[in-house]
Amino acid sequence: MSSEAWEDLVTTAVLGTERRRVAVPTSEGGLGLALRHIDSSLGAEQAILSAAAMFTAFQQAGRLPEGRVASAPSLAPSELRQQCSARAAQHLQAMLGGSQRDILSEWLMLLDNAGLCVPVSRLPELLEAGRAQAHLRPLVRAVVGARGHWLASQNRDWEYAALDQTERSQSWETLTQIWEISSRPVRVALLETLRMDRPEQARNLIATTWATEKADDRAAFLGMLAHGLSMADEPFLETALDDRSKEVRTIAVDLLLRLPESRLVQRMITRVSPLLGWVAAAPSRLLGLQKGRPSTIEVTLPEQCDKTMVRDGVDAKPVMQHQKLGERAQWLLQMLRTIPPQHWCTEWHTTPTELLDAANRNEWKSVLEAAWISAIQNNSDSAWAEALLQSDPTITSLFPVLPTERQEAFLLGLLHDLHGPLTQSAALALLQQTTHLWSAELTRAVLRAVHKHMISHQNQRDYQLLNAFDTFARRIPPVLVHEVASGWPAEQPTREHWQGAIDRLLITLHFRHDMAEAIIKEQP
Amino acid sequence: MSTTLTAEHILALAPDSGSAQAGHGLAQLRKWERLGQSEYAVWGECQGSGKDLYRVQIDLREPAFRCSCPSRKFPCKHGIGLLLLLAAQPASFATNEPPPWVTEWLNKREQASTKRAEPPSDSTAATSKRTTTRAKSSASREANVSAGIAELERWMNDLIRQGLATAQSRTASNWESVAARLIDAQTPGLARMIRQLAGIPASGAGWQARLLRNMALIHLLVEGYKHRDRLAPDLLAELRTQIGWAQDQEQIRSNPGIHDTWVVLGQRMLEEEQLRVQRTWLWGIETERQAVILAFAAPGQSLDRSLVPGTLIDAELTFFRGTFPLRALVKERETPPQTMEAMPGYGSIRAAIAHYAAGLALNPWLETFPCPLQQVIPQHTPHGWSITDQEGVSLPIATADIQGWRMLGVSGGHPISLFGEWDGEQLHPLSAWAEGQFVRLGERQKRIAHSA
Repeated sequence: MSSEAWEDLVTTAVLGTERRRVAVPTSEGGLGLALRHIDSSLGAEQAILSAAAMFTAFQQAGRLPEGRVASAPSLAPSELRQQCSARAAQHLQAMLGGSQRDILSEWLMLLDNAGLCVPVSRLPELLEAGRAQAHLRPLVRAVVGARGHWLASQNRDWEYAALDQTERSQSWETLTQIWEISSRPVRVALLETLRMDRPEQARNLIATTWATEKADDRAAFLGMLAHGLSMADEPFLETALDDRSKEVRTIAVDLLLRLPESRLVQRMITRVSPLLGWVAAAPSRLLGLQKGRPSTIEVTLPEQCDKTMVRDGVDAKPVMQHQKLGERAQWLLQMLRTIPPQHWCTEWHTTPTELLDAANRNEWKSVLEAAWISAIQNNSDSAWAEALLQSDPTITSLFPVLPTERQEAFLLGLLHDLHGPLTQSAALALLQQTTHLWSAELTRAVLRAVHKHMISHQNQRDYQLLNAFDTFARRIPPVLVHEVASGWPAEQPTREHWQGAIDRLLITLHFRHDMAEAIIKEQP
Repeated sequence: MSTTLTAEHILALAPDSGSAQAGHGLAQLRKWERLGQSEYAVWGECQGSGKDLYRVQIDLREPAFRCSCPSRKFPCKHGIGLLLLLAAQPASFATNEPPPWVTEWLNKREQASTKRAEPPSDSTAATSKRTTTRAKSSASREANVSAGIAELERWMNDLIRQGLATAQSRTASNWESVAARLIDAQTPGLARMIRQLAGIPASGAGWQARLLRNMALIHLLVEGYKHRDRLAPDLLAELRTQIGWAQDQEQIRSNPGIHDTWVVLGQRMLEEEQLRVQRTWLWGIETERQAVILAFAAPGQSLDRSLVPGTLIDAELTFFRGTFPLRALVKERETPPQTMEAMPGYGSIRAAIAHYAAGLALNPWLETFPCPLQQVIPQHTPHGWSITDQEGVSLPIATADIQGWRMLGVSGGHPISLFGEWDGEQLHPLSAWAEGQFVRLGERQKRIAHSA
């Protein structure tokens, strides 16, 4: 057999002709014929090398690929959506390649709204982008198409995109089957999809295997109840307060805080009510001789932190420090933040303005304000958010609570009353908090303010404003691109300072304009 | 004349993704003035970032670009932008007499290409002087090479005598000194092979057989060289190329070539010791000849981008001499590139391997074999990537994961056409044809660090 002869030859070469006597190998067929031509009188080393050369040629040329019949691959189902145009594909490629990457989520949304899917050749990069940035995943899932779901199901890193939208219309039986066999990313994706229109089914799925799941899986699934959270979820969350894992308990508390009617919040009210008191205002008397007294809040700090408080999420030894507050003040803060401030207004028959005034004058002002800001965020109470912002526009964390029309109205107000430099106004920070597409009115107001700022502060290189341009570029509606291109102060050196930023702004706007056009124009 | 290149082809011409993006941004009418076209050229003036107006022109036959901007990238973003604009809005280019700065350039190009086509001719005295100098230096090279090869033979015999087991204890500098002496002996091809040998003892199980095989191939060159007087001309040419003689490109270009419509099947770029090498594979539709065009770039230089995978060109190719000629030069391009409409290839893996074996029989030192296959299904297994043909035969695939997923994605489990380089053990996929689309599978060239 030629392979034995070859092995023998290799062994001889490895040991060396000094140590091993050489016999020119023989073989049958064409190889044997060729080997017989070797002249061993030329030396043992030459004979070895020549023989090796013949074997090599023989083996290389004669090697046949494996004839094994690989298992039949699965076939991708046919595509339901149409692929986007080649021009749109170029925009995607540019974004995935690194330029204008922040625009990707906008592009994906446009594509989904148009009912299109991405070209098949770009699937790996897009699925990778979704793996790396979790916030992109629902958008990616929506546009990868049947081929994308098929591909994703074969790669562990992309399992978040393995299910398609039809899963959510499956029967309970099918859902439990999928639930039982799937990995965590697939189950998380399934929950997210189900919570949109069948939230109770999602919760029931979680409940089926709850007792046997690992702690971090339980935490991941419980966190999904944040989508479409309602009082129907309250009983399950209440039991989760007793979970073995701290992470799970924390999530349960976070979610229950957002439900003012939950038992947890009611318990907090019971605890805190004795600690806060309202002393109503006293009007001035005797024709002003006895001065009036404004209303005040009386604050008593809690004596201890008992087990029921801990169960409800109070940290007995809090790590986060709120400006050198003592332990007991921190306990009060943690409890107070679970109660919507509206409760106190109702309880004490007072108005928000009066309540805030009273809090402002209180020695525990920082506790009260921090607690109420937190509460407003948890409950998305936009009326209260606006009230606080009116008195202090620098509380940027409350701005996202406002609905977009109120955000715009608020900003228009600030921009209209702008006196000093734009960069010292609260408006700039708040503009950067917006996440919606601006109206034409807001865009024009912002541009006017920016132009004014440039003219009156031309010598300053304003990095804060320069950086803000990046946000503006993503918020301005692309249809206004031609309007945005004009009207910039033309005087030097002002123009020179800002030219780079203006150019980048216009490039982004043009890009967004082109990409929207490429999708919408060629819609099916 | 307009261009049949698609926007994707045009963007593929860009030297890096930044230029592609910038070019895309410049493909807007409002950036351009005095656009025009003639039989095979387009031109325009583009507003630069200052007050300057750059003059940009393209000879569509290649395409070849020229721009007055200071960028050292090639083609620059203005060229890309102009070509994209032509592809998208040809009506905006009025057919005109080209302005003087365009005719000047086009004329220069005509002259240069006619000059290239003619064999060099000058005075008899100069020719004979050149011949004598050449004869002297070639005689001295032959002497060096003979000596170098004799020494290499002794070195290899020593290694066989002492046994390959001793190879594992040789140091890197030990191997390198052998290679260095081969460079001194003017045999760079042999030096490269020795450097490859150096890595084998540490390459894991089976290294002994691999080392012996590679040494055997070098031995063939040594033996061949010793008997060079008896070799047929093509075999001698192949031998000399492998040893490291460069063939005279002027001479090759002046030979009559092969006319055909060539499919640009795929392209691979490799980094090799301070040099980037680009292999572009062509397949003649009528003649079914295969060819590879090599391009080189030193660090900081751009690689030639005139051949775009996924296109067809009518061209005349002239081949380098050898026993299984693959390397060629594009002597003349006859039309602008067209879009590909199908991918040619072998009907089965066995057929491809049979052709590979035939190639090896002619050139035992063949390292890379062009392998287009039709109707294969890519698969992802725990052992890696593979493809299976309609007869159930499989080949292992070597590729970066993301390209493997792309390959799988465009197939969706259905058979596709695939082109790659076969090295005797694995197929390195470079392009695919699926659902009427050409898909590039090799890595894109990374961004070159230029200051634009």
